[in-house]
Amino acid sequence: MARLNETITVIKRDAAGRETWRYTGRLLARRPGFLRLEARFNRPDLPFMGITLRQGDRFVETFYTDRWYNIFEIHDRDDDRLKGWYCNIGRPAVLEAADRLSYVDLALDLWVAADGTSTVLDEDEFAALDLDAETRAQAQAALAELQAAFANHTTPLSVGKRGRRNMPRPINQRR
Amino acid sequence: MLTLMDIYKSYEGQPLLAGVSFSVAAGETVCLLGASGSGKSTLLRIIAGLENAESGRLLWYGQDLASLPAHQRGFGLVFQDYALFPHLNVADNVAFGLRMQNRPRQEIERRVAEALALVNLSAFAARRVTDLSGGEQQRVALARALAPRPRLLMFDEPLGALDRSLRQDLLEELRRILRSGETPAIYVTHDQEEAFALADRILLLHEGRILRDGSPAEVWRRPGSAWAARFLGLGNVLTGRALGQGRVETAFGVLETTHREKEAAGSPVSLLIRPAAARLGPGVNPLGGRVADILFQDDRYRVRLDNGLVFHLPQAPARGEFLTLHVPPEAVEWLA
Repeated sequence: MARLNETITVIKRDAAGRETWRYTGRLLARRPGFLRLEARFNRPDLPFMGITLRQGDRFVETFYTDRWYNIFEIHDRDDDRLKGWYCNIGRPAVLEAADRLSYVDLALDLWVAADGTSTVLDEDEFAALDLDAETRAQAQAALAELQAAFANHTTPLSVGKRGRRNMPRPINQRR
Repeated sequence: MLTLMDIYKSYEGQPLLAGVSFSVAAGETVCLLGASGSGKSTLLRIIAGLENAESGRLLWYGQDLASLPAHQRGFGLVFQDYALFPHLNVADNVAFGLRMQNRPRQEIERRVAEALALVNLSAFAARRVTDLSGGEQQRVALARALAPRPRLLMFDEPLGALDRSLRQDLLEELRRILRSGETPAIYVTHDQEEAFALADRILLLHEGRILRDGSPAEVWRRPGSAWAARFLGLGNVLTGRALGQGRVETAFGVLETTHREKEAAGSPVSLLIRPAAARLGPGVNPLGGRVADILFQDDRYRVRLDNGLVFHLPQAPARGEFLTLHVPPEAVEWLA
C-alpha cells in the first residue's frame, strides 16, 4: 500500500482495456472506496471550454473503486484558483498494484465550470462505443448521479458516515 | 402528488425500510420523525433518486419515478452539511444549480434575487460565504434549494449542526416559507420540537415502518403505541395486564380506566399517564411517592417521584416529602 505523499501511477484505458495514457500523482488521501491524488497537468497549454488548461495546473483527482466516475478538480498553477471539475465516466477504478491504479474510460465526460455552468462531452463517442446494455446503463446512471450531486451541490468529495454514499462535496466547508 | 407504495430496502441483510407507504399532497409539509437508524434518511434519498428501493413504487401524479434520474426529478434538497462553495459569493452559490441546468442568464438572475429575498439575504448577495455565520450559510443553502423552484422540497436534519437559538430563528423562517408557498415538503428530523413546529402531518418512523401518521395534534393526543409515547416524551408509560372492565394490573397496583373495549383478560396493555394528569390528594388510582427530584420547567415544576413516575405540579414540593396524589380514570390512556 502506498503511503500518503508517495507516488501513484495512473493508467487510463479505453473501453477495450488498452492503455491510452499514463501519468503519476502524489497520494493525498485514501479511504475505503476512494483514493485522492494530486497531479500536475503535463501537456502543453490547452484551450478548453472557455478557459485554458495550463501546463502545471494542479489536478486534485478523486478515484472511486465503487463508482462509475472520477472527478478531477482543477486549480490554476499560479494562484490555485478553482477552474472547474472535469469528471470522467468510466468503470470503477482498480488498484492494480500498491502504487498503481487504472480505470477504463467510457468516453462520456461532464465538465462543470467553477460557476456551475456544465457541459456533457463526447456523447457521440460514447454512443459509438460497443458496450453491453448493462454497462451503458451504469454509465448513464453515473452521469445522472454526478449531475444531481453538483446541482444539489452536495458536491465533491467524500464518503460519508455509516458507509452510505455521500455525494461529492466541496472543499473547506465551514460548519 | 407524491405517492410511495410499499417501499422496501435492506442494508447488509437487515431491513432498513420494511414496507413504507404514504403520500404527500400539494402544499403539504410532511415530517418524517424518527430516531437515528429508523430509516428516515434512506427514505429521503430514495425519493430524491440518490438510492434505489429494492421493491415498491414511487409515483409523482401517477407517473413512476423509477426511471427518472435524480437531477430530472425537480426536487430540491437541503442537508445538514450545507456544503457551500467557498470560491463563490452568496449569489453565485445560489445560482450554481441553475447554471448547471444552463438556464438563461436573466432567468438565473431573477430567480436568485427571488430566492435570496425569500430567506432575507438580499443584502448578502455579494458577500463571501466564508464570512457568514452557520445560520446564514444554512439560509444560503435554503435559497439554493428554492431557486430552481422545485416541485418538492426535501430537508434532511437541516438544523442539526446549528446551536439552539439559531435553530429557533431558522425554524421560524422555514415555517414562514413553507406555509406561504404551494411547494410540498418532506422534512426529516429526529427532533420532535422541529417536527411539531413545521408539520402539517407527522409520520413516525420506527425500524423502517410508519407507526403513526397524523396531524401534530392527532399524534400528540393519540400516539398509538408505547414506543411512540416514549419517543415523543408524552409522559409515564406503564405496562400491565388487562383484568376486564377497563381495569389493569400494573406494578403500581390495579388502575381504573374508562376504556371499555373488550380485551381478553390477561392480555398485555400499555398505559400512558401524562405528567399533567396528577391530582393532589387521595382518590382512585393513588400513585403518590416520595419526591426524588424537582426541576423548574416553563411555568411549572417537573417532579420525579421515587417510584419513577414524573408529574407536573404548579407548586414546588419539598425534596423527600411524601406526595399523596391520584390520577382520575379518564386520564389513564390506553396505548394500542
